[in-house]
This record gives sequence, C-alpha cells and structure tokens, in this order.
Amino acid sequence: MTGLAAAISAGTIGLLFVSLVVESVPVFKTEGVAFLWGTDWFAGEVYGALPMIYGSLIVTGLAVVMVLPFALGSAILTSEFLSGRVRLVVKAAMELLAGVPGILYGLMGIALLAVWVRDLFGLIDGNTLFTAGLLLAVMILPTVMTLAEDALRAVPGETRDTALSLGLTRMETVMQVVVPQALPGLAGAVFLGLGRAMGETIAVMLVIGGIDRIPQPWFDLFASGQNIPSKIGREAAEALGFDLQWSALIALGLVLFMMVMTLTTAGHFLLRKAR
Amino acid sequence: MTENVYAIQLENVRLSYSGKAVIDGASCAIRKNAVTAVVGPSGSGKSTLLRTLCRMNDRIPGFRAEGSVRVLGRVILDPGIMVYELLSRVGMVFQKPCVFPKSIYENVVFGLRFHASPNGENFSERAERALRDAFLWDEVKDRLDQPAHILSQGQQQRLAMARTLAVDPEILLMDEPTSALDPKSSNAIEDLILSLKDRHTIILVTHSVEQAERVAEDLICVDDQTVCHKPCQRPLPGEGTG
Repeated sequence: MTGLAAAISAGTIGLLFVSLVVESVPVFKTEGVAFLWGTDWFAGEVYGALPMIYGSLIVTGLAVVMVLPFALGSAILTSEFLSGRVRLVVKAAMELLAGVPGILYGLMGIALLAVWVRDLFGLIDGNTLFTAGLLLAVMILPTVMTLAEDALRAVPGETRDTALSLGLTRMETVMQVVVPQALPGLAGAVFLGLGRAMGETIAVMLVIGGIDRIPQPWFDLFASGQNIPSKIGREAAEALGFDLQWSALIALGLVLFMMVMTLTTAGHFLLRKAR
Repeated sequence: MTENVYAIQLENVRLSYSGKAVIDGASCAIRKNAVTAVVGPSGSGKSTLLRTLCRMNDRIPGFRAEGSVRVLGRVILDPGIMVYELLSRVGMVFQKPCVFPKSIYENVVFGLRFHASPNGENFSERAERALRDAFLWDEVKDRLDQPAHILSQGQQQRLAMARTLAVDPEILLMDEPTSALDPKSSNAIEDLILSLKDRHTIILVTHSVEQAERVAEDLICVDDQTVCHKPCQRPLPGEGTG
C-alpha cells in the first residue's frame, strides 16, 4: 500500500515536471536560454525571468538569515532546557502556527508589517523585498524550529551524558557536542523551510511590491520587487489563452519547481542522514 | 581520619523518582584506591546510585536525592556545589561506549580541553598516557587521526576510558562497562580495572557476581530499596591485623 502511494506520488511529480517542460518549450524557442537572464518582461513583447529569479533568491535568503537565530535558539531552548511538559506545549503551539494559512500571514503583513517597515525606515512604500523576507521568516519560523528541535532530540542521550560526565557545562554540551552531531538534521530543517519560503505565493504577493525589476543597486532591499510565485499569481488569470505569456509563466514555474525540488531533496537527505 | 580512608560516604540516603523511592535509608562507605562492585537485580537502583555520586541524575525530571553523600570530603548534594568541578574529580564510564564523531586523538583530549589550566601540560603527552593506561596505545598509535568509530566495540570502550582517564579523575564510576562486549574485550577491561586501582578509586556496577568477585575488593548489594555493604575482604589501610 505504501509502495502504491509512493508510486502515485512519484508519478504525479514526474507528470507535473513533464507537463511543465512541454508547456515551457514555446518561450524557450522564442527567447532561447536568454529567458533565464533577461531583465525585461513586457507581455506580448519580451520575456526575461531574471528579476523574478533574483526576487525569489533574495527574499528566501533574507528569510533564512532572519529566521536562523530565532529558530535555532528556540529549538535549542526547547529541546535542551525546557521540562517535558512545557516542551510539548511549545511544540504544539509551533505546529499549530505552521498550519496557519498563508493568506492570514499576508493580511497581517500588509496591515501591520508593511506599515511598520515604511515608518521605521522612512520609506514611501512599505511593500519591499525586505518586508517580504521578514514576513517569510515569520511564516517559516515554526517549521524550521520544530524540525530543528526534532533533529536535536535525535542526538542520543548517551552523548549528552558522556559530555556532561567529562565536566562540560550544559551549554558546552549543547554547543560542542549536541549541535555538531545534529548539524545534518539542522541543515535539513533549514532546507525544508527554504523550500516552503520559496514556494509561498499569496503572502509574498501582498507585500513584495510587484515590480519586475532588479533594484539599483542590486542589494537595495528596501525597493519593491517581484518573485516567481508572486509573478505567476498576478498574471496567470490574464495570461490564459495568450500562448507565449502563458508559456513564459509555466517556464517560471519550471524554474521554481527545480529550485524547490533541489532544496527539499537536500533537506530530506540531510534529515535522513541525521536520523 | 575517615576522609583519608574513604572516598565516598553515604548516610541515610534516599533516592526517588517522582516521590517513588528507588533506594531508601542507604548508608555505606567506599574505600579509597580500591575496587568496589555494586551488584543487584535489574531495576534495583544500581545505576541510579552510581549516577548520584557525580550528580548525573540532576537533569532527570522528578529525580530527588536526600540524605548525606560525601565525595572526597565534600557534601555533593549541596545545591551550591559546582557540579563541573566535581566531575573533574569523578569520571564516569557508561554501559555503551559513546565515541564522538571525531578522530581518536580528539576523542581522548575532548574532556581535557575543558579542564586544562592555561599553562597546562602538553595534550599529546596526556593523550598518550591515557591511551597507555587504557591498554590502547599500541593498537592506535599509528592512526590517531583516524575517525574513532572505525574501532571495534571493545576498543571504543577502552577509548571511552582513556578519554575519562585523560581528565585524571580520582574516582572512576563504571556502569556495566563490559555488558555490551565480547568475552575477550571484557577480559581486557577487567585487566584494565585491576591496573588502575592503585591510582583511582573504582566503583563498578555489574550484573555478574563472578566479575565482581574477580575484580572487586568490596561489594555493595542493592536490592529492594536497601543497600548492604558486604564485609571487606582485605584489611582497610591503616587497620592493624592483630
């Protein structure tokens, strides 16, 4: 039964991949591989994916940088220092938060976060790459934290006992023994969080600004931008029936698919290695 | 006087998990530089007793130790005691050898790195001495930089002992160190225990009464929440024979 379910899942992913490839052929025939590094996107004229690829990478990277200290810190606190009952309460709360729909985060982002960012940094518009990264960090925090906590808990108790018996403090034991041994699992947790961040559509669409350009200079995080899911979300409905625009959006989907699959596969591989 | 003779003294000790006593009213004394075996049926509290001597049970939820436990003259159940200092004088070897995913050399000096004084002696010398003491030097001297997990189970247990010995503890607590080993490796560990007793006080938890009789001078029996100290088989240091 499990084998059948696995075969159906693998078959679905395979079919999805093939259909993405087939449907993106027209835009690659027209634009060539320049589609991947073209910076202009004008429907009906030219299709360049780089601003969206850049937006996806920068927003996801920002989210990871912002989420890492909090997720790892709270995972260490929960796994190593909280009592059993409190730990279960924290875990349950985090798992609940991980299940909150993206649209709710998006509404919170547009109503609060974008306003705070605008006021705090004196911007004209609070819908920026930074806001999107910050919102994504909040969204993936529960996922990364619970998976990281699982990875820390997977380190055998004997390892902790051995380190403590050698006279290490609890903090030294955690930092010198437990975290290094849990590293593959922690990396897996981050990669899976990254996968979720990269594929998130609606929340990001509401706060990223929706402008298809790479900021000048490229590291200006307080400029509006665009990422792949947001671009597809905005244009999919109007592109139906326009062959090349539709194909360009599907090609964007293919790029996203490859990026997310790479991250998720790496994450699962690392988590399995940790166990 | 007693502090010169005894490394550990227990008086009316009660150990419990969530209020349920594992050991109640235990009193006994353990001689310095001798091997004392702790024997008893499974679940009788042997390991709990052993781990109490170095406060390793502290992080177990619901665990409580009451009474007086003196280790090397210090009352160790006092909440103000520095457990990390205690653990530099009391080392512990566990049932299953646990090697860190590091090289053989790094495993040996692991604890040392956290205890060495700023002008401490050379780690390499300390590592070599610990490995020689653990009868492991000849087997690993040419591959110290190789990962420790490539060693056999018996070698890993001796490596764990070398790592503990490197810190130079006065008391060695051993929790069934041979239970996961084949007979040959068990014999090697028993020889090692006998070779160490002149310089260390050794307390060995074991299921095997035969093993206890082979290596130990004193016996502590733990059963039904009680601890009984069998008479010494040899005179205490300083005791007259006539």
